[in-house]
Amino acid sequence: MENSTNSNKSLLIEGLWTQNPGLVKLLGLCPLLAVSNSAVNAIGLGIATLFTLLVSNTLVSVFRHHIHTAIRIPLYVLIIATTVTIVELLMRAWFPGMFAALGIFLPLIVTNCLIIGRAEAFASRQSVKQAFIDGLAMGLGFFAVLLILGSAREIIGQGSWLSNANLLFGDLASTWKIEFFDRSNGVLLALLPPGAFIGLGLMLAVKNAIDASLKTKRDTVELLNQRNNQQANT
Amino acid sequence: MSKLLKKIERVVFNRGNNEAPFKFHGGLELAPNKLGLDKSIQTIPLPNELVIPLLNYHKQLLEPVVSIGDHVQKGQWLAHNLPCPANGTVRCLEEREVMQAQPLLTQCIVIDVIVSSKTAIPSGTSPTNNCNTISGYNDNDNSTNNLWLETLQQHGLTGLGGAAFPTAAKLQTWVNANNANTKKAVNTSQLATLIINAAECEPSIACDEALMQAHADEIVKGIELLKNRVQCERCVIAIEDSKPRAIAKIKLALEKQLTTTKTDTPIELLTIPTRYPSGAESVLIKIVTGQSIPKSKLPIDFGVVCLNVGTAYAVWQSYQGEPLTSRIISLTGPAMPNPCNVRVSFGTSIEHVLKSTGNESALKNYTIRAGGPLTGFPVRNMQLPVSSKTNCISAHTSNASATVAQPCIRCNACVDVCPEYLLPQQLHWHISAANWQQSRAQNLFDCIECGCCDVVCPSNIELSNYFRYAKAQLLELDWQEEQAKIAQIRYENRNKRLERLKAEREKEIAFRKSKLATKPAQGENNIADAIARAKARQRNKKKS
Amino acid sequence: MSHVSVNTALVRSESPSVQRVMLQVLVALLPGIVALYWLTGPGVLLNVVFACFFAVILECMVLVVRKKSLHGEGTDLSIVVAASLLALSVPPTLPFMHLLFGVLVLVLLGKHVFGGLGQNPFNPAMVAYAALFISFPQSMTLWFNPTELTSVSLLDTLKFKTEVVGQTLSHYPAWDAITKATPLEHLRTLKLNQETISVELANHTVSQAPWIIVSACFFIGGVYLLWRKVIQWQIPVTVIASFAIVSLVWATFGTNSIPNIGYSLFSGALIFGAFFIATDPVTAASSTAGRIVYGTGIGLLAFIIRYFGGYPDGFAFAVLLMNLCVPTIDYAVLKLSQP
Repeated sequence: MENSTNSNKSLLIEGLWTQNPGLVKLLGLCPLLAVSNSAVNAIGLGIATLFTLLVSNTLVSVFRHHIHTAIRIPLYVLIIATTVTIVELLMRAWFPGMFAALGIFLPLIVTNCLIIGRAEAFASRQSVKQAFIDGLAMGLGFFAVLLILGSAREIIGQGSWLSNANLLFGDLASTWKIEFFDRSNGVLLALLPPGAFIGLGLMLAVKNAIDASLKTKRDTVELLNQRNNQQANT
Repeated sequence: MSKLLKKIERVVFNRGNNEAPFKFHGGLELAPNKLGLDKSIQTIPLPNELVIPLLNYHKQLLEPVVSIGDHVQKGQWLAHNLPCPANGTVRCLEEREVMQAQPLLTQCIVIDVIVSSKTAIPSGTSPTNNCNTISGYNDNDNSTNNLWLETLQQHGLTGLGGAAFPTAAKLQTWVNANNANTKKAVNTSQLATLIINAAECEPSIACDEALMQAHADEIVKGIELLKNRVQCERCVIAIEDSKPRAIAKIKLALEKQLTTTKTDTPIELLTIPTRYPSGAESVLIKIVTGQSIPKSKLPIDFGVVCLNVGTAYAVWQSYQGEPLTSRIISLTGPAMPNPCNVRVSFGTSIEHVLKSTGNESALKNYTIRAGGPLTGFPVRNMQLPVSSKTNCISAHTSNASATVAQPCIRCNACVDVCPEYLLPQQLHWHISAANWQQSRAQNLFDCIECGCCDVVCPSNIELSNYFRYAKAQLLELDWQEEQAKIAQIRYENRNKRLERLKAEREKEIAFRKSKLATKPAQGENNIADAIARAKARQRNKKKS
Repeated sequence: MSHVSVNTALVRSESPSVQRVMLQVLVALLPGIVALYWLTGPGVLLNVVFACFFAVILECMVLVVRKKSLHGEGTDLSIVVAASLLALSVPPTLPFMHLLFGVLVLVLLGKHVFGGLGQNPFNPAMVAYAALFISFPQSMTLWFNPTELTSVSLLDTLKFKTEVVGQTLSHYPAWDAITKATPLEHLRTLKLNQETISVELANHTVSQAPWIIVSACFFIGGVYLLWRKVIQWQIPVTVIASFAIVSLVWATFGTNSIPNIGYSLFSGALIFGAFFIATDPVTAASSTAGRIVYGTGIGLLAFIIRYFGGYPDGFAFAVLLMNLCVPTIDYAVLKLSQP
């Protein structure tokens, strides 16, 4: 188990595309849908989740030989809760505006099934390095989905991108906001919960369409290769 | 005019418990479009060769009873219950395509027809003409009845409505039942009813109508015969009101019949509204008796037997000693140069039929269809032989099924016309999704494939084709399941057998072991004895 | 597939087609469109033309992307009907940009996301209407006061509708007459202010007579559809009947917060919806009994949403909610009808 052949690259590809937590495993949808109403909120929650995932994955992997299987879940929760508390306190101290914007969804990272899922399914059986990279990949995958969904919803819903960036990146960032059109023309639907569902659904559809077209391309290439081989053989 | 006639029918013939025709759900009012009814029925000359498929109703191959080179006579058997349509010689036995929706090659007997065969050479088995032994058709005991049924069978009588179900098999249960009460016992609320189907609801087809115009007397006699044989409590001939001439003829014949014979249950003439598919068996039963027949049951279960009017005529012909070897076919369609109704021997090719009726030009220029516009199918091979199922051959200028099917918009037009209360659009949905079992649950097998839904579908979806396809799939699945069950039983039996053998072997082994177990003790004794003996010998030696 | 085929051309006197059905619906909409034009000015015509034009273009684009034949699905007019229904549901003042969004939702999210014509579980026009209503609550409730506004010129309307929105209406001094009230909207405001509603009050403040004429015109169109057998009687009758019965019962035994029954029936989208929206065959129940349940459900929900919900008229939501129930209704009817 320890000497798994998972290369770092394949782990990254899994986290970002083939096993993407948001688009394939559909894990952690509650925060994903609730907080993705603006790009900055999405970035905030994405980073928090990424950090938690990294730390919890690493810790779980470090202690994997010492944790008795019968009580592993409570211990994982304990590790995750500790990490989340740290993140929460850090956020409260350094980004109070962001902390307020994320609200309940920050502490709720504890119950994000993505994190406990990776701890149970991956980190508890893999080396520390593997677990770290997996945490990074999954966290980045989740982050990417959040960012895309958040950006799309913000742009359609209020006609701007990266508004309130100062909450996360300091006062300098208040000029980052890009305005496409007046807020009063925004599509309110995109900001409301249905918009999140529709947006995620469309993202899923696009991903599946891309996968399907890739597959047909691969199949044709394979078919051609086979034919070439046959011709070469004859 | 037809309404007036209808009223007259009521007054003259509706007696006893007769009710007005029941309505059925759905259906379509289609223009009858029947052609060639003004001409008399000609019998077309025999072709040079006749092709007779060796298939029975259940698609089982028949064993021929003649061999190549044999001279055969009209009426002689070619195979069991398969009378030969004409005098001639058996040329060969080979695979030919037969007239059917899906092209099918099957064993056929090809006969070279000898037209002027004055000296017939009797050979092989001929059917015994039992009709001569039946004294009169009021004579009604079991043995006569069975004799009569046997004759029908031997004369190759099948239904002439399109499905070609053997007539004798249909009547068997009833004839065997001794009296009306046993028939009724199946379903107490229903009178034992014999329905003669003369509705001929499908547009273009006019063979039954032509037959009724030409042979009303014989038809009525045939019905009378049937009625007395099966001892039914009610006998109805149902004709659509779009055929006033046929109705008038039949009415006259019935009146004539009434004057000659005295009977408790006169044949009722029921004019029914012209509405496709009133001639479909289940629909007609619904119209006449109000009883709907689920697909899992047979009409006979409800005390009803439905026969085509052409069959009634054939029954009379059979009584006269004439086997069923020809039928009337409508030559019709918008592109038919000379539409008419002709009598054709079974086994005649379509080409010959068209050529000998002056419709040769239709062969080259137009598409030919067998059967009516709704239940028929296009024919490409003009050599296909006519069978008892072929009621119509039509010619068309173009292939009309060129329209592209569009998505179903669930407009429900098909639901409104379905005579069987199905939801065709839901069935179509399930079938497109290959959800066979669901389509069965929605009563797919109640579908009579009348094609009403195809006609009204605004999206041009060939619904009845879907249903046929799904039925075939389901039957295939059932067959597989049955095979799997048989295999399972076989496997289980094999396991049991193996277990039994194993047990027996073990028993045997145990038995031998137990034998051995007693033996070693003896062996030890033997050894000990031998040692003792050896020691004793040594001792003796030492002593000596 | 088997080789049997029904030769439909032989027995059809007139060939039915999806296109023909849709054309009949469009014809049936005409009196309503004319009445709305008379009542609210050229805005409604602009809406219909714009929505249809853009919907057809979008439909063709989607069909090309989906590799479907333009001759088959592109010409069946169903998208024109859906776009017209949407255009007639929205206020004549709705800016083109917003209408464009509505058409986008209609074609993409209402129809093609589910696989195109015949596959959509929800009425596309109502999906678009709901999306618009939620997204642009302000412009979606902006109606002219019909009594004073028949003199708005085509040019003014066009100018207004193409203007980048966000401007206040005060920029158009000639348009003093613009109010934010349909009769139902007015009722809603009164209710929110805890005022007692009497019929007289409602009738006097916002003239209702013109709206009755509009409803009557749609009613005529609906009767035409019934006569042409494009729709069946079950849905419109049950929608209107259930709504009327509940209104009557409530007005008799309940509080006085509900206007009289005639007023209820002829205001809002009830008549239009009962004949044109709820009867969309794709999204309605298929069996006769199912259609009755479906129609009754829409009537009841429309009543509840209109008089107890958060929106002035809830017909769109009632239809969408009942669309959601259609598979269950069909299944239940089938199960119950089998012994």
